Amino acid sequence: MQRVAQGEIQAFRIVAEALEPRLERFFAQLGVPASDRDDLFQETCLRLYRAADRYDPRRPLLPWALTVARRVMLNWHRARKPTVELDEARCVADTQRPVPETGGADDVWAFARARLPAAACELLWLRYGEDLEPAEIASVTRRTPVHVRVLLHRARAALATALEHDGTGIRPQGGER
Amino acid sequence: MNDRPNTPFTELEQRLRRAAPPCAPAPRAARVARVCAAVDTLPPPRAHHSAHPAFRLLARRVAALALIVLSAVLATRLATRQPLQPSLPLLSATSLLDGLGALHVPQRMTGPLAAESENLLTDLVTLTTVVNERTLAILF
Repeated sequence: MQRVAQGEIQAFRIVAEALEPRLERFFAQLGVPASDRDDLFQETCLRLYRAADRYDPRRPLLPWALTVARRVMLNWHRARKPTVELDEARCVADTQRPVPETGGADDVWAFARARLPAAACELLWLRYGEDLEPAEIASVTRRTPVHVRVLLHRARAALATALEHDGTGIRPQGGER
Repeated sequence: MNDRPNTPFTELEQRLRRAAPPCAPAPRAARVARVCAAVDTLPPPRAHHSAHPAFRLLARRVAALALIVLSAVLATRLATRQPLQPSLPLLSATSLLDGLGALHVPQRMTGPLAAESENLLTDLVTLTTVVNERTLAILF
């Protein structure tokens, strides 16, 4: 990014190639349909490019990129027009619902998305999917680290409770809690 | 947080980590190419803002030093300018207060106070006498 900030535009290809798999997975896990991820990735990269002069090389790139990607995704959520589902379109919507890719029948992430609020899923994904520290999550989500720790604890507790009380599918591995 | 072995959610945390889908092994070339083509149409980022962190630190220190020096110069100038200001005429306090002495008229209060004291004493004696008489009248 320093080279990009110094005017070496070709260096941005390296950044884009490094970020593409991570952002693709990030958008997929947070419920962005595959048809929109291309646009979100491009918008995120353009914002990163425009803000290259403000990048602090002493800090890791990924939390900064995830911060930008998250804002782009929130704008995308806001810009989506509210729609009213028709009865006859319900069966079609069920087949075309933007469900992220799951890893199989025992996918705890799919279970979490189905049971927990979106904000809790987002925090859990940033912590255990992207492996960010609470301080980095705080900078990504514009919260304080203490607030992030509290929300993470609540999300974990809610997920554990949901897993325990689930009678149909996934149960927590490793026994009782 | 997750490294603590005795947390009640350790198994859940490990499970979440294991279940996280891996990233794609390689970036989508078409997507990256599209981004690069879009970036090529943009002007280069403002490189003049991207000062080196060491330079920023040096600039801050120079600015702080300049601020201190200017403050010291300003304070010195104010201190040296103070005697040049038009000073008030010197006034003698004793000469002003001497006139007050003429307004003071000494009064002798010995006589009135002595008379008042005698009156109070007489009243007290009379009051004591009356109280004694009333008290004896109640008893006998």
